[in-house]
Amino acid sequence: MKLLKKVAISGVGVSSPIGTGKEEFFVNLVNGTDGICPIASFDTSRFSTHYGGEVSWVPGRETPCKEELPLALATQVMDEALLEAGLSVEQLKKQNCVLVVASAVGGVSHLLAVNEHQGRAELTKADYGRLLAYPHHALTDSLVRKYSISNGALTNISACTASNAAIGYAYDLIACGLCDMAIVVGVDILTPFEYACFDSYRALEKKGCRPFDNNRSGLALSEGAAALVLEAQVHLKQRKKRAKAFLTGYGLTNDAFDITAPDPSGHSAAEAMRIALESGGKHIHDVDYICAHGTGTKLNDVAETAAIKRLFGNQAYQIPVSSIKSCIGHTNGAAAAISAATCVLSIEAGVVPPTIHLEVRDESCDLDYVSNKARKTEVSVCLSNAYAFGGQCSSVLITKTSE
Amino acid sequence: MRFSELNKKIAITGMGSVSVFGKGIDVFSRNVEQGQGHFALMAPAQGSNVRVRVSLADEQEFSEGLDPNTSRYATKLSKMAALAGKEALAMSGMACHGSKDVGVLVGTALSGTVFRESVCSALSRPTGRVSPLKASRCVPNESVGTICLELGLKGYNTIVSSFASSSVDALFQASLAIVTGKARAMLVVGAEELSPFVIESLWGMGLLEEIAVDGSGQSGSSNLPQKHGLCLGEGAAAVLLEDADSALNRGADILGFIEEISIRSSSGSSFKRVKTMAETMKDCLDRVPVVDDVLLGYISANANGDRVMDGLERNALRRLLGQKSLPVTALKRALGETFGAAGLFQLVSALCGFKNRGAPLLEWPGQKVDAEAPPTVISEPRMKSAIINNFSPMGNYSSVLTTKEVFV
Repeated sequence: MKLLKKVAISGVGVSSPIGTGKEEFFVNLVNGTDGICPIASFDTSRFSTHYGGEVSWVPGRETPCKEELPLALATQVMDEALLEAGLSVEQLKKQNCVLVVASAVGGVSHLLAVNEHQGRAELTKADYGRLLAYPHHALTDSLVRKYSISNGALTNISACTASNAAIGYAYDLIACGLCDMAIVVGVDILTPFEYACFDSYRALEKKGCRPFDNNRSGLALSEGAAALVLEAQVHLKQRKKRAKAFLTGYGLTNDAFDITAPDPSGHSAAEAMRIALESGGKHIHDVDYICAHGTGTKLNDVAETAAIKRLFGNQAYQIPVSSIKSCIGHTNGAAAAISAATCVLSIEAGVVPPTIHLEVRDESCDLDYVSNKARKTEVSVCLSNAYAFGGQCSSVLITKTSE
Repeated sequence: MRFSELNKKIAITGMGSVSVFGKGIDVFSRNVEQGQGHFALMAPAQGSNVRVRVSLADEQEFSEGLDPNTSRYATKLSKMAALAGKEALAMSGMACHGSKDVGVLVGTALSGTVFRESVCSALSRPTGRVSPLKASRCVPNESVGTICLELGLKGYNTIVSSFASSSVDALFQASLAIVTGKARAMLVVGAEELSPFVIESLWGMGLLEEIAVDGSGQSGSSNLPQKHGLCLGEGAAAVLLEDADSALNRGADILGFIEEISIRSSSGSSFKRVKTMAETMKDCLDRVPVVDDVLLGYISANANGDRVMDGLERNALRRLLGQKSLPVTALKRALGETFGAAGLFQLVSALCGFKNRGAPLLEWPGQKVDAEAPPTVISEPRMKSAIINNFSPMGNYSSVLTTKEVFV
């Protein structure tokens, strides 16, 4: 079936360890601000590392507790994206709109809170009732209620590829004409739970995050959220609004190699990028920027570099590739939504954000990683990559125009 | 949203299951046809003086059949999902096709909870440690990775959740992936694994059917509970979807068709929720085949024993059907509430009914709910279509219309 409708991005919202709101986020990202700091929101003394990225909250507003943080972040970025798209909550109710939320960690802070309760035998009905906010879909349900979404809502839980998969689903729905508009929200918070999990793998960097650097030793966990308002270009024109950028294709593949380690050949990761380009009618020579998954782990960075070289050949060395995780850390299920937002902002500003802390080049990572300093350049076609445990590979294609 | 707006037909060419009855469609079909349940009594929490009924899949019963390298570190949920998927893929005859032709979509409500609970419990102790083996099993997408690894599938794949309607939402997204050319065929798996903590929590919220230790208060039919609250269950069910024309062209044995999938979200007043449920079902009912003014089909209700949700669904059915006659059944009386797997179990049950020319069904009369009514068999002439309801207390309402033949 031919996908008939062009999909525009009409609003973006971001919250991250280096800024609340897309403007503050992008200015700090371009300036190479490091958002990885000693963790303040929980005790890390039992872990081998103590650094991570935590969101800064709006001055003058009370910082929400961990249990309330996912909804607070999701609401904040949705409000920002809707405002930019020129939609009030009342107007949104009248739209043929679908909500797709992406999250890997979900409501696990509720599970932590109940376990910390002194003696499970003393738990009351109300204590148990708090666990209604634990299931993967609970946050989505809260957003459905808050924004009166009536045309369907779904949660994608594909770990670190969740946001790209959510964006892809939203893209298909709009392109096929099943809805006029979709809001994609990626959100995850930093809790002792995933910190303990990654610490048990010894996969965490001791201090900052150094993707593609020879001395990298792991990722930096963090938290954040991003929202994108996607809508049919024709619908946007009817509303007399302008597109910030266009979502023109995506690809999802699996390397079927190992549950935790990526295929070092990068075959399926390259395939995801190829499918994204092909579905968007673009060629490898069209790509101006690759927003890499770039976690800073030994295996991921080498596999992703191999994937880019596999698909682009010698052209790979001409394309700026950067990892925003060097500044904001790894936000799990939100990561790809923040990367997609970064691509939109890069297109608008004509600047590629840097990979910071890249001092000593790894022999296996020999691409143009925009080391330590942002680069002013025309950006018209971006690929945004995300990979996950379970062998999942994903890429989305974001372009300046719909052609 | 309505899938029928795309004017594309989806065929089902394979199915599989791992349930409380064991591994495989045959054992599932046989037990459900006979109106069997398989519930065990257990204490919902330490020190509790009541018991609840749960329908647990026995891991010993299905430990064979997976590559040891795949299954060594896989969770029970992932093993069930991979085995159900493997059966569906083999039945479809698509296993020999390229690894990129068949995509995978998993629907689940609580994936990863068993080990998440274990990690959280360890963290609540001052010296508690987390093992990396446990940590890798907390990842919510472990099941889709396990399926791809076990079956060597490298195409489109993802995992979604919308609590009790996860299965139908997965069916919708998978069908869309076929229509948009992302995959030639899609393996759709609904899977759920119970953890002691989930059972304890739902009991703590007062949502489970309770039975006093002395047996008093136990509802009449020993194997068919669900009158006074939920009985939980677990398992995995899978179907293989293909574009109908492609399936027909390759001469596949078609088990049924997806005629409609309707998805809505709603919250707020009971009135609004009933209206949304009725609208979702109506999208499907409008396409149910009719011969001599008789609707050929039945409704596989969400009906799980929860008083609030059952009440809303009953009112929605009254609003929808009016004077029309359509049998209403409740498969969860046999399997328990399997949340993210429920819709696919209902679909697989309907497909078994089409195949066996009779209905493996447990009736849940629409006008007056009587959970103690004996299982009844819906006559063969009616077995032409089924509307499957997946209504989640978390505001998602989904219905699927599956048909034995192409009617529209």
